[in-house]
Amino acid sequence: MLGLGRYLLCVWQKKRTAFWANGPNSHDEIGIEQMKEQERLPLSSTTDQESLLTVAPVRFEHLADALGLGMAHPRLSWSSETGTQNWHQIAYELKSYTAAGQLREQTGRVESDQSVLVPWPFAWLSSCERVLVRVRVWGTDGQVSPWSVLSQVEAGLLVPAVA
Amino acid sequence: MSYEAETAYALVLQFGLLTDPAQRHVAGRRLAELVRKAGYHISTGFLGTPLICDALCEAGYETIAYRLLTQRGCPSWLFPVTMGATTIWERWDALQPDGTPNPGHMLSYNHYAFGAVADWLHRTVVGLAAAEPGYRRLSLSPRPGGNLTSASVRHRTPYGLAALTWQLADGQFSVEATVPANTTAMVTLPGQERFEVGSGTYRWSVPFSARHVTLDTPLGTILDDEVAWNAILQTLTSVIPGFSALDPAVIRNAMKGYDEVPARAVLGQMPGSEYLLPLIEQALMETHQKEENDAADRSY
Repeated sequence: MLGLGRYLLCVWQKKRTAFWANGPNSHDEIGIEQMKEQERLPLSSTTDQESLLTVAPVRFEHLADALGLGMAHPRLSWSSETGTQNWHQIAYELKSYTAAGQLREQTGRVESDQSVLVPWPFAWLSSCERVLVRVRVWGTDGQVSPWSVLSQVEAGLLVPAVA
Repeated sequence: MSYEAETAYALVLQFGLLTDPAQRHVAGRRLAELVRKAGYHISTGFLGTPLICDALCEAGYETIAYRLLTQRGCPSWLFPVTMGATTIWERWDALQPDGTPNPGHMLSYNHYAFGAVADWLHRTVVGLAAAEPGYRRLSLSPRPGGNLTSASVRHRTPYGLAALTWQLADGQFSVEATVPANTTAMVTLPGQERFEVGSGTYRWSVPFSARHVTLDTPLGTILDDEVAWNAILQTLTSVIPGFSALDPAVIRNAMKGYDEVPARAVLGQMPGSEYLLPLIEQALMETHQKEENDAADRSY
């Protein structure tokens, strides 16, 4: 019964925070307009879009829509698109936000060429916690990408309910 | 091998159960002989089908693998297509050549298993594969073969979209490739040294002509080349009275054990060979010319 209670609580919280599904639009430096502009960018750029660097939304354990993950520290992946040939990532920066849109944690610039299954760099998720994450990357050509569109991750019921 | 079957050899080779190169060579050759004996019809089931083309290619019998792929008689991958199939069937002959359903059990007309050849199509025929787990390094190794004139694949890797397309026209082999950002690719084009590229979209073009067989080609390789072998049979038919009445299986049986011997040495044992061999040589030359012309025609 307690498990069911927790589940219903989760559903209720989800509904409560549903309007944040597109990210915290009234907070921090990212706005709805900017996000829409990013969303319109083609997923597959070609060489004629000279050196335009973008980064696709972060995935969690390879999932784009990571709802109810059975772990507190999902690994992060993202992919960059650019018209620059021989492009390699030299650094990245990740930011996380609470479901209410408050900045939760940030990594600062990390010197690394890793972009697939990067270990969770933030405080572990608690049961049912929802977090929004975005990334930006620096390339060998020195260019920095815009921030990715926010993507969300929500942990499932991670620990047994205690009476 | 207590029971000689194509699946048995494919499993032993692809699962690495044989490690001694000499043993692997013999197993590969025996696998090729079994496929030839089966008239280039597939005779593997759920277990051998995903492996047989890889096993043949790695043993150096790429021509046989492509011939299996393009076979239309029953059983084969394309036989169901000739019967109107748009799905993969659970049995090679779920519909039999006369159009009636197979009387046996397990008769699904939508069954993935034999479709496993698609993996080989992606990795080997088109030539897009992971050079290491996770696709951080790609392998681009397009391989024209059989009578295929183009092939194409797109794969969404964790780093983004990878794509490879090739086309064969007018003696030119043209390749277009997309390598995702933050990855590299090892590229092997026909007749070229391997080279490495970074991310981006590329176009390459190299001259290409299909290998053609002569009398100095091993007999087995000529057998694998349907057009060349038919040219030889036709020549023999036109010269030797009663040749056409011979059962192909009888002819094949007479040549058993000579697969690795140059055709000249085998056919040279026939009576009147001093007269026959130049005729066969001429027929093979004409076949090759015709293929080149057809390829040129197709490109217009």
